[in-house]
Amino acid sequence: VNVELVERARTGDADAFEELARPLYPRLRRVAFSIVGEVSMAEDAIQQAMLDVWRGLPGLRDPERFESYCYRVLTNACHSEGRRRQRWTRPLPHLGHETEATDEVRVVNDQDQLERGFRRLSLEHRTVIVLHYYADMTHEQMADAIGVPVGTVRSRLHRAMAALRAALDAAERPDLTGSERREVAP
Amino acid sequence: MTMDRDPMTTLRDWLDDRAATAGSSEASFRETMRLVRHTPQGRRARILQAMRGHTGRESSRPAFQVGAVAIVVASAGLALAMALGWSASGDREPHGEPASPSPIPTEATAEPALPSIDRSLHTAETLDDGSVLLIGGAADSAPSLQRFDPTTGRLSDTGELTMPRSEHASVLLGDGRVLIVGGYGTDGSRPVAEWFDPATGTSTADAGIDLAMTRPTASLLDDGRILRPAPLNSSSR
Repeated sequence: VNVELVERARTGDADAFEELARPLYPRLRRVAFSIVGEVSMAEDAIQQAMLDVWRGLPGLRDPERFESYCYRVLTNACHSEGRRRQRWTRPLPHLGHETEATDEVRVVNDQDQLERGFRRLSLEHRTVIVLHYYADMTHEQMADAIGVPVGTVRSRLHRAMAALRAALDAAERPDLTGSERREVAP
Repeated sequence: MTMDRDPMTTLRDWLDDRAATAGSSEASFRETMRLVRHTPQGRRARILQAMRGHTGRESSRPAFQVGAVAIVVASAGLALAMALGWSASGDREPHGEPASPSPIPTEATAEPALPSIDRSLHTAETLDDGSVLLIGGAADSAPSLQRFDPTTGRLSDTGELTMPRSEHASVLLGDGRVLIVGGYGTDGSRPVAEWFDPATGTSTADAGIDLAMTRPTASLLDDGRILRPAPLNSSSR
């Protein structure tokens, strides 16, 4: 992180802020999309996050933490956006598995199952999976980005993966309704 | 779970592929930065940078910061802050006698020299070139339109409205013109709307716009229309 740019941005220098945000923005946006699952929601989340980062910069004590600060604000924005829209339990259409399992079809089925399973997860579980397996963050970096202790990150990630496995199993069973669509307990 | 490969590899690949479908971020980034620059902090910074000769450093003088905050809080903040005596000494100039324009030092520690203006019940609009147009209000012998250039610290007379007015509303339009509506005339009348074109320095009355309200507000919408509240006790709008 360019500390001088952070310092300038903290004093209200929008050019410095733009220079800081530009290299981070694409990845932050993809993380947002990975968590919320829809482009429009990701757009709303990252725009809100960037505005919050900009407004909150004067209160950032350690300029070196700018990037993790961005992730923390972003995950909060994603959670807020997700709760606001309350569309997390919408089931995706089941593609069916009766088709002959060629490699291509199997890939499609895997992706479909992952999408269906992933959407069944809570926001918190999606977040730790995305940060760890997509953003390649260590547990310590995730703790900093989410704002919880490292031990909590480890246990949350463990539970998230267990929930994903359970959700994938559940996703293979078509047409779940009502409470069955909620996150499947590991 | 039907993943035949290493499940973690499959998950990583799927997340990568899925994230890639989010598309390009350039347009999103531009829009986000536009929003950032339109926050009060962004607008304040633009003005302060211009006044400091783009040094990009914050003055530590409290009086300066208080004045800067005033710019942001009200749309007419800059003019208001100056009208209230925004200077290191706090001295105020007599009515209609703006101080001699002084170039702004570019040293980061220097206090920007600003002209004092005694004007009230006016509005101010930041024009496309960064200068600030002071519009109407009570200003005694000063013309009804003045322009402040923060890069030079100069205040210049820009002309007159077609009719004097105060407690009006103004809005900068997308084509660079300024629409001025409502308010009170000097005799208590309700002046008609008028357009001011900064490019030509001319004002043009427009009786066709029915916005003769006192103490109105006007906001430019994204589609170019102007939003203003309906008058109280009116059922016709």
